[in-house]
Amino acid sequence: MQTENLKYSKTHEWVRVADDTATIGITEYAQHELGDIVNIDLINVSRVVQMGERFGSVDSVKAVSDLFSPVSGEVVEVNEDLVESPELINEEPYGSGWMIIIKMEDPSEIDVLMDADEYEEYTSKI
Amino acid sequence: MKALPLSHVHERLGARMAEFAGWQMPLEYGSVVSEVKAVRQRAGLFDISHMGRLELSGPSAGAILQRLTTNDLDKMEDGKAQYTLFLNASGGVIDDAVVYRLSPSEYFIVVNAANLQKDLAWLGAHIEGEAELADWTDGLVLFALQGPLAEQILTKAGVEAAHSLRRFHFVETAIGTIHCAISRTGYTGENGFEIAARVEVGGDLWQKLEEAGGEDLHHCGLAARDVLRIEAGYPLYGHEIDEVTNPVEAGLMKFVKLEGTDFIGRSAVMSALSRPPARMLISLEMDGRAVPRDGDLVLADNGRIGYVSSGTFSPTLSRGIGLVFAEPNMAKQGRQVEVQIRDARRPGLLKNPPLYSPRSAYAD
Repeated sequence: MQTENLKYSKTHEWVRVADDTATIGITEYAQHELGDIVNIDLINVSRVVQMGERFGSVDSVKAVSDLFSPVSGEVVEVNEDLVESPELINEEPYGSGWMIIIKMEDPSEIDVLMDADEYEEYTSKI
Repeated sequence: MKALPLSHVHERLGARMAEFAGWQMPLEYGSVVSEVKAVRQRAGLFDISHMGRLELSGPSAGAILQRLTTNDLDKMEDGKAQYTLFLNASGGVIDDAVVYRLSPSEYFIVVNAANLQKDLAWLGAHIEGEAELADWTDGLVLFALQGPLAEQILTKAGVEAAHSLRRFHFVETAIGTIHCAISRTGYTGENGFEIAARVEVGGDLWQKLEEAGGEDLHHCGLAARDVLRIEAGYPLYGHEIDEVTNPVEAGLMKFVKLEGTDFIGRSAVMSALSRPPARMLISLEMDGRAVPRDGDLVLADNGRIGYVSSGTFSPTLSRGIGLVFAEPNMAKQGRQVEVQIRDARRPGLLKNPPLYSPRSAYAD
């Protein structure tokens, strides 16, 4: 189920915008495709990422998958709970499974992302 | 690609399927982590009907097998199973297998699915005297029932012989009216059984086991099977053993009886023993959750000392684990290493297998 006010990338990350900060995680579709997530490696706080750049990776039992930032900016917070409990990503991908918070350089970047309906249609065609 | 006899059952159960050795196999039924935990804490049911099943029978069957395998067939009695290796003349492993002796002139051999045609050709080429080789792979289902509650479940299913069946022994019996052969063998390191029956009754047998297992029995796929065998330190053909790896390097000399009758590869193994091995197999336990992957380099003192032959995550230990081939003087219990996992070096420890041993005792 997509949550209405989020924006989505083609690489299955979601963004929740509040003022100039963007909270980022991966979608229900992504967590289901990955299966049990057993480990996550995330970029450090204060690093700067560009839109489309890798900000970390998740391990499922059989494979590793990269995470790509939907927006540019400085990482101001990282979800430390995921270190010991990466399964939160599977259980609550839009809630306690959030990954990083970015202070956006250019809030207009979110305009190129998909809304809920567009993402729904996008995943139905994969 | 071949479909398992029970493929429709796995699809109905919601299995995610994947190709393995030319077969469409259930990889997992929703959560690999749950499946591994179920086998370690309760019981798991695996459909492993892709494995090659051969029968070698006739007056010279025993002698042929003795010549082609490393373990000592003379140690077998009717109803005994034995893990063994087929070697080539250079001492490399053609396949690993479990041989079951039904009678002095009747042997059942379970081999890796990927090597079935190769094994048939190898055995076929070495038939001497009176012997017949038959391929039973498509005629029989094979299920693994593994975990601390496995015996209890089999007893509940009506198998009175379950409790007294010793490790590496088998019986022909029935579950209800379903004729089957049950061995106390497995690939998970847990107490458990493998059950064979004709394809025609495979669906009924699966259902009977599900009924007997109830809430305690979890369906398990190949992904969980791979995690469990790495936790147990068992080799997988193509990773730890192959035609250019000998039993010395793979740590399998326990199953090679040099003092017995001659077998193909014996002189090569003796020659290998007369010099230090190029590498030795050992287990790896990461310091945290980082997951080592096949082919990752293993480093010590900033130098490469080996590589990961099988890497995965252990839900049992909540750590990354693997099997590693390392320089013999480094392949030692307690050696601190780093594993190059993509662009990061992560700490780990080399350990003698198994990384996990269940506490349950086998009936013996």
